[in-house]
Amino acid sequence: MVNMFHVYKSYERAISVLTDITVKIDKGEFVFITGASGAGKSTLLKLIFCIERPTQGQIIIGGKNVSRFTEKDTPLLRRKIGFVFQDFKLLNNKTVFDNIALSLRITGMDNREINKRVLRVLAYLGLQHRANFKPLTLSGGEQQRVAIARALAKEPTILLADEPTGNLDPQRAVDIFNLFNDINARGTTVIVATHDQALIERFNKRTIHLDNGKIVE
Amino acid sequence: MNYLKWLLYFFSEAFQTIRNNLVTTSVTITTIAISLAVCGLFAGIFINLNNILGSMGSQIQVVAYMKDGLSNDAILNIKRDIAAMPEVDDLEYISKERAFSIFKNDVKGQKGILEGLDASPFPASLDIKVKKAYRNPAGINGLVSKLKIVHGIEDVQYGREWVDKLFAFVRFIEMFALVIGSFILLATIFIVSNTIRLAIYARREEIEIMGLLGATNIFIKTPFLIEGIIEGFLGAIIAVGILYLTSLILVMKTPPLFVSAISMPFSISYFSLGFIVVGITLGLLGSSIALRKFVKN
Repeated sequence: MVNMFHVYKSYERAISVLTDITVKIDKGEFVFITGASGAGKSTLLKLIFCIERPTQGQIIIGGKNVSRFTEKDTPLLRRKIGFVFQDFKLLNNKTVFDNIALSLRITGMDNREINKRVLRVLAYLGLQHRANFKPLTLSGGEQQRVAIARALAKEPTILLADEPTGNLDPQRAVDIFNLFNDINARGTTVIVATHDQALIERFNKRTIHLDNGKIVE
Repeated sequence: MNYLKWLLYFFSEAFQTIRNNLVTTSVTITTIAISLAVCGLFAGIFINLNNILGSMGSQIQVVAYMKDGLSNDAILNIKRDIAAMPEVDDLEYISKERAFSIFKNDVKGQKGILEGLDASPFPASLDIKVKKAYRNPAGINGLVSKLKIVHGIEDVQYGREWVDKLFAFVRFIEMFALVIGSFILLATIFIVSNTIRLAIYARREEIEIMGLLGATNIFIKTPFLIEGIIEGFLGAIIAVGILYLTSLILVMKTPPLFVSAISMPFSISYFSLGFIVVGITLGLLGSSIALRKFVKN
């Protein structure tokens, strides 16, 4: 599903963020990317989501080489990948319903289908009663679930999550990881960047450890 | 049908954003309105000034004096030949006798001047009005040279100094208008595009999130461009209102003699239409320039 071959990423010549990353993540896998702050976890996810481009090396996602992408290919790829951002990236002037619906509307989906999918995903995450709320009126945990709901509504083949439990108390964090586990059990490839060692041990999944931009295990 | 669905969505998004950002939108509309009103005021002043200069130009007259003793037929031939010249708009024949009676009328009350004058000492002449296209030093000189070689014409006169001064002034006004007009236009484009850029800058996060969700550039940009069009349209309507009111007040406060000089230079419908087109173009251009900076893949 995701193949990286000798990928390097540096912002300026002197600052190397990722060095010689070669990794293969299969369809339906659940993978943790771990490492200390600044190890390159977020950059790795951004490369998969085409927010960043590699300085060197090849990235193949779903059989397509990212370095050969045209301007139109990036939006199409992003519609197939759900990304749960650390800072949620919700539109604060839109309701929870509209935030989730937007990710479907941009694909040209029929309104009836949009309504059906949004209501289904809201119910799945226990957010039905928050549909008409604006994000800033919700708690951190609820905002996190809205971000996950938005990522799931498009029924992605890959779900990326960047430090999804960074702002949550331990019980809420476990709930979120149970949710990812459930999503993974339904066939979605899940890649989670986290430094929460307790959760990594508890869920016992494949772990890619980054140290100073290099894979160490 | 699908395009209609998109269009409806984009318009509803644009209107919703305007409703949600009333203050920013009002600032943008006001900026466009004031900028356009300043442009319009300048254009109005320039066009009115040009009209005044044009009416001064219409007073340019060339006088061709005839030799004495020409037969009526010869005079008729001269009139016909001159009337056929492309530069000539209209001409009037002043006979020797009429010239004398005009003079007598002019010097009424100073009988001493007329003492010993029984017959007219003045030559017959043709007062020639020049067509608008030839009311310039080159055109008038060309006409004068042609008149001088007409058989039966003794001398040709026109207010050379006055014509030269008038056209030097017209050229100065045109250059002045070009320089100041270009400056005002550039300043307008600069101010409007920067105001819109600031409004879009405040929503850069929204643009970023749309891109991250997989929206295409067209999907992200279109509501902003529609907003630009709406703002430009409303700004232009307000500008037309400001200018119309200004001209009404000016007409009311101006002595009747000068009213024609400050009237609206165009018919109100063409004037409004022109402003709306300029306003919409400004809004659209301002938005697309600003979006280039923020919408990237």
